[in-house]
Amino acid sequence: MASLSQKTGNLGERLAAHLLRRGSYKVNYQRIQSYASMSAHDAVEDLFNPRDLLHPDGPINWVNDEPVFDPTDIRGGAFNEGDLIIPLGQIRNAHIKWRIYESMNDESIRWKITHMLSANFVVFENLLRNYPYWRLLYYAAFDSLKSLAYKITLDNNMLLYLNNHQNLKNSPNENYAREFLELFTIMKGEVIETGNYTNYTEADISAAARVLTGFRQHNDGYIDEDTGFMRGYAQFSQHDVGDKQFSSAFGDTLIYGAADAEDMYRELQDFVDMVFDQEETAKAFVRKMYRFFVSERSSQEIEDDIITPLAADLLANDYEIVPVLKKLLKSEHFFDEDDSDATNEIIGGKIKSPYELYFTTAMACELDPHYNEDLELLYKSYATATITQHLDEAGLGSRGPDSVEGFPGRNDAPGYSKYWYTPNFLYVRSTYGLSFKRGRVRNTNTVFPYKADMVAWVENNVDTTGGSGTPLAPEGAADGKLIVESMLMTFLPEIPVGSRYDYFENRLFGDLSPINWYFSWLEYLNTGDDANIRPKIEDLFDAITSSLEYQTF
Amino acid sequence: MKRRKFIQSGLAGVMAPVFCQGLGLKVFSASALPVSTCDFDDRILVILYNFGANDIVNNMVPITQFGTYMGHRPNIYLPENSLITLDDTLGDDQLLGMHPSLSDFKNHFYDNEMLAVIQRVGYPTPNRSHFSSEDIIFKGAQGNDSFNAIEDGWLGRFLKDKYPTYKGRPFGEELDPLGIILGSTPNTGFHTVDEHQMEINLSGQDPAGFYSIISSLSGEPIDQIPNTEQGEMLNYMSIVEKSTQVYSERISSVFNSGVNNITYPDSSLGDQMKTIAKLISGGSRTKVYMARKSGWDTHVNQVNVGDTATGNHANLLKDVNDSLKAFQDDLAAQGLSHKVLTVVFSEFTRKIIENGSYGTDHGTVSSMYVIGDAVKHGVYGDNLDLSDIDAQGAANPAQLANDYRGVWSTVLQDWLGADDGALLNTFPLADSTTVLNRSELEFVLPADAVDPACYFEPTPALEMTLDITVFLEGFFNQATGLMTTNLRDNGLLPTRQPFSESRLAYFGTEQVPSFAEGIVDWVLVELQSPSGLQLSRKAALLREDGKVLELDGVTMYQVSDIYPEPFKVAIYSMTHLGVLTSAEVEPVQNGTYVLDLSLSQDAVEGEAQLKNLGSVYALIGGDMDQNGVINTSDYNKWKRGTQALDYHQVDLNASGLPDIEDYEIWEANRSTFGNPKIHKALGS
Repeated sequence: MASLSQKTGNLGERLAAHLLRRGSYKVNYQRIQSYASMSAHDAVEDLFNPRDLLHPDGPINWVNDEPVFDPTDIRGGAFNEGDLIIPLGQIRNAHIKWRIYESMNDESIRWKITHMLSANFVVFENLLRNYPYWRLLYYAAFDSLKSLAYKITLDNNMLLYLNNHQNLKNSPNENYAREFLELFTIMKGEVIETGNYTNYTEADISAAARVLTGFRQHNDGYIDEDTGFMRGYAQFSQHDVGDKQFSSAFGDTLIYGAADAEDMYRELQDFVDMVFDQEETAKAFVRKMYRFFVSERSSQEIEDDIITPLAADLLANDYEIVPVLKKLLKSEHFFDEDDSDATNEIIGGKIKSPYELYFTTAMACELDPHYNEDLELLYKSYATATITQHLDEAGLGSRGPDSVEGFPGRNDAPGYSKYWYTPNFLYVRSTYGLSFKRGRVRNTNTVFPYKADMVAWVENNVDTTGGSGTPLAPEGAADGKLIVESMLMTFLPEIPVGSRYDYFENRLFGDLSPINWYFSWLEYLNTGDDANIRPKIEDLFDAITSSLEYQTF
Repeated sequence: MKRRKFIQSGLAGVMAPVFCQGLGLKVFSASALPVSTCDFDDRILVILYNFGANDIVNNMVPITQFGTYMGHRPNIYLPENSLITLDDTLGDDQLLGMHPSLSDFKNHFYDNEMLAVIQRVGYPTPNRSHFSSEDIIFKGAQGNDSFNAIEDGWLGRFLKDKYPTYKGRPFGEELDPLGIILGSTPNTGFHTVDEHQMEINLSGQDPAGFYSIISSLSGEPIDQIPNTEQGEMLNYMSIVEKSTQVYSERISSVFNSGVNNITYPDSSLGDQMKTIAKLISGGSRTKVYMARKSGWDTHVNQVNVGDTATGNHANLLKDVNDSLKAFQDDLAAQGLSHKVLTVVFSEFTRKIIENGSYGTDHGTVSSMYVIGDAVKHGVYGDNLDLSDIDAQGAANPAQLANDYRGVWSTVLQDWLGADDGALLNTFPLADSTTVLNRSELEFVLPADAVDPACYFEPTPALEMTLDITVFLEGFFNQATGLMTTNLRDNGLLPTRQPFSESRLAYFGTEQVPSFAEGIVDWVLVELQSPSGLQLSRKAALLREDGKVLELDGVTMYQVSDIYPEPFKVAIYSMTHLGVLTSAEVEPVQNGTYVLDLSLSQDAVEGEAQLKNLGSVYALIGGDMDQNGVINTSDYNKWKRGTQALDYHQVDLNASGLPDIEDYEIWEANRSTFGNPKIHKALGS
C-alpha cells in the first residue's frame, strides 16, 4: 500500500540525492552530504525555505549588471518597446539567461514548482510580456493554484496567447475558456455523450467564454497587487452582462452577470471558485504534481492512497501548493519505503528534461555560471546562443512549446518523460557531458559557457587520504574507489552494482591494476602534475555522462 | 446521376472505354484494362497531418450554399469570385469552390485525376479538444470509448499485423525503418504494445549526417537493467538507441543516394516533403512517412480584414499546396509517383460560424484529401449542410457520413494489401461494417487496387532445431571425454540465467527449478544475420557431452519467432571467449541443423578461436569480463575474487573457486583476441 506517512530516520546519501534531484536543480556533492544527515522533515523544510532571487530586478545586462527593464515601467508604468534599456532583440537572451541562472542556482524548490506551473499554464514567448508571466508563476509557486488561475486569466501574455483579448461580448472567442477547463484546471473526463466530457460540457465552455468576455490586454496602469507586476484589465463595454448558466457538472451553478467593470472581477472569481470547488479539479492538480515530482505511473493504488487524500488536503488548504507538496515529498512513498516491492521503486524512474540534464550537470560540476575568459564576448554572442541552442535542440524550446498542451515530455500520455528521448534528440542528449568537459560545444570550437574541472572537483569533494594525508591503501584500490563512488553518487540516481560498477571503475583504472592508479594519484598529490590522472578522471566523467543511467533522475 | 456513381458503374465493367474517354480517366486501352494488381510490395503511404484543425469550410466552399456560408461568416467568408470551381459537372450537393491558395489541388491534382476529396469525415462522438481528438484518430477510437486506456495506435497495429516477426531492426528485404516521422513530435499512431519501435523521428539534423553522429556515440551499452521504474526507462532508452543505431547508416546512405529534381517551398513542410522525396528516390522502402504542419488553430485573424482570400489561413493552405505540388512533381519526374499515396487531414475542423475575432473555434465533421496517381479522382460524399449546425455553431455531428477508419481501411486494403482480418485487427473498436463495407469509399483506381487474391499474408516466424555441440576448456576432462558437472553437483549453478550479471547484458527470464543430470553450465546462444545484426538471444544449458539444450535439459536448442532468413550462431559462456560459427544456417521450417564446434578450428570464424585439446576443440578460457580479449582486466577480476565456494565469473575450471588452475589457463591464453564481430555486436 502506498503510504503518505512521513518517512522517519535520516536520509543518507542515496535518498538525500533523490530528494535534491526531484526538488531542485542545484544538486552537488556538498548539498547531498548536508541533507544525508537530516530527516525527511528537516530536509524538505529546508527545500521549501525561500531564497532570494539573484537578480530580483529581473534580467540584467551581463556586461554591466544593469537591469534590462526599468522596474518602474515593468511594474506598472507604461511599458512598451521604447522603454527598453537594451534592444528588443537582446531582451529574449537576457530574459532566458535570467531564468536559467535563477533556476539552476535556486537552492529551494521554488523554480522547480515554477516550471511545473509553466507546464500547466502554457504560453509561447512574448518578448515584452514574458517577464511578468514568469514572475507570476514564481510568486504562485509558494502561493495558491486557485489564486494563480484567477491571476493568469488576467496575464497579458496569456490574454494574447489564447486570444481572450479578442473574446468580446458580441463575438465570443472560446479558445481560452476551453483550454482553461480542458488543460489548465479540471481536465476532460470520459465522454458521456456528444459534447459532454463528464467534468464539463460544450455548453459550459460557451458559458465560460461569456464570463471571460471583456478581459483585455493592457500595458499601462493595471497592477496585480500581490506580484506588483502589470496585468490586463476588465473592459465592461465588451463584457457579456447576461447571467451564465452552467451544467449539472458544476451543480447547475448560475453566475450572475457583472454590473460594472469592477464587478467583472467578482464574476471571474465566481467562475474560478466554481471550478476549484470541484474535487476533480483538486485531483487533476495532484496528479500533475505527482507526475512532475514523483512518478509517471498511475494505478488504482496510487489513486486511492496518494491522489485522493492529497486532493482532499489541497481543497482544505484552498489550493495552497506548499503544504500538499511538502507532505508528498516527506512521505515514505516518495522515498520508496512504503513497501518492499522493488518493481515500483521510483528513484531514477523519470527521464531528465533538458533542464534537468543541463542545469544539474552544471551544478553538480560546481561550475561558475560566469565562467569564460571573455565575459563580454560570451554575453554578446556565444553564451546565451549555446545555452538556448542546447535546450532547443533537445526539444525544450526556450521560447515555449508548439502547442498549448505543452512540451510532449511533460504532458503527453502515455510516454511523458520518455518523449525527451527520441531518435532525433539522442545525439544532443548523449553529448552534453562532452561540452561541459571541453568548454566547447561538443566536438566543435564554438565556445561553451562552462568548462568542468573534474580534477578540482575530486580535490574539493573527495578526501582520498581518509584524513591521514596519504592516499588510502592501494590494495583494493580504496582511494580510487572513493572517487568512483563519490562521482557515481553525485551524478547517477543509483550507484550501479556488479559488472556495471566494474565498468565505471575500469574507466578510472584503465584496465590496469589499482596499484598503478595509486601511484599516479600519489604523484599528483605530491607534485600537482595531473598529466597521468586527469585523463582517467575525465574518462570516468565521460563514461558517466554518456551513460543511459545519467539520462534518468 | 452524380459523377461519382457514374465513375463507379463505369469501372465496374464493359462500358469502361466509353467512360474513360468521356471522363478523362487515366488512359489505358480497353483490352489491357487491368482490374487489380499484385504488385504492391514497395508501396508507400505518406501522411500529412495538419495539427490544430484546418478550417475545411474555407478550403472548399459549398458553392450552392453561398448565402448560408456568408451569413455564418460575415467577416471571413471568401468572395465568390475568388473561388476556383473544382468540377462544374458535380451535382449541387457536391459542387465546391476551392480556396485560391489551393489552386494546384484543382489545376494540377484534380484535373490530372490525382485527387479524391472525402467529405463528412469524423468519428461517432466528436471531441473538440485537439489533444483528445488527435488521440482518437490515431488510436482508431471513436470518441465515446475510453481512448485514454488504449496504448497503441492503428498504424502500429497495422504494421505489427503485417510484420509479426519485426524486432526493431532490418529483416528480409525490409532494410528501412517501417515508419519515419518528420520532426520531433511523437505520434500515438505508431505506438505498439510491445517493445519494438516502429518508427524513427528525423529532424534537427540532416539525414545525410545522421549515421555519422549516431555512430559517434560512445556510451557502452548498459549491462544490468533493474526491475524498477528506472529499469523501465533504461530499457526504453536502450531500445530507442538500438533502433536508431541499427537504422542510421541505412537512412544516411539512402538519403545521400537520393535526389530532388524540383525546387520546394522554403518552409518546414517544404523541407519535410523534400526529405521524404529524397529518401524514396534513394530507394527507401519505409512503408509510412508522417509529415506534420501546425498553425491551423485559427481562433483569431484567420483572414486579412477586407481581403479574406489572404491572411494566415491562406498562407497555410498555400504552403500545403506548393509543398505537395513540388513533392508530387518531384516523384513524377523521377518515375516514382506510382509508388506513393498521400493522405491529408486534421484532427477535426472548425465551426461553421465565425467567432468575431476574424477566426473560428473548434468544430466537428471534416474532410480528407487523398492524392496520388492511383487515386480515382472525385468527390466522395456530399458537402456539409451549412444550415445544419449544433448549439455551438459547429456542423451537427449527425452529418457524419464517412468514419475516418473506413477511409483508412480503403488505403490499407486497396493500396497496401491488408485483408479483412488485418483491417479488423487494426481497428478493433470499429463496427465491422465501417471497416469492411466501403462501397462509397472506393477511391483507389481498380487497376491499382490490390487484387484480393494477393492481400498480404504475414510471413510465418521460423521454427527450427539446432543440434549444437561445444566444449569449454578447463571444464573438459580428457579421460572421460566429457565436461565436469561439478558446479551442478555441488549446487553452485544459479537457477536463473546469469548473463544479466555480465557485459553480455542479456536480461532474459530463463530459470529452472533444478538442473537435469549432466548439466555443466549456462551458455548464451545468439543468432546473427550475415551482416552482423543480432536476431535473437536465448540462454540455454550446456550438457557434459557438449550438447546445447533447452531448459528441460533434454530438448535440443529451438529457434523460434524470427524472420526466416540465413543466420550465424554465436555462443558465449560466462568465462570463455565467445565464438561465431563460420557456417550460415539456411532456415528450414521445422528442420534440424547440426553445428558441431568440437571437430575443427574451421567451425568458427577467425584465427585460432577454438583451442585444440587433443580429442576435441573447445572455447578458450579467460575472457572473464566478456570484453572480447583475454587481458589484465580479467586477471584483476580473478585476483579480486573471493575465496568462497560459489558460481564465480572467474572460475575457468568449474572448481567453484578462483584458484591457481584458473590463473594458469588465463596465463596460457592471455592476449588472445576474440572475433570482433560478435563483441562489436554486444548489446546491439
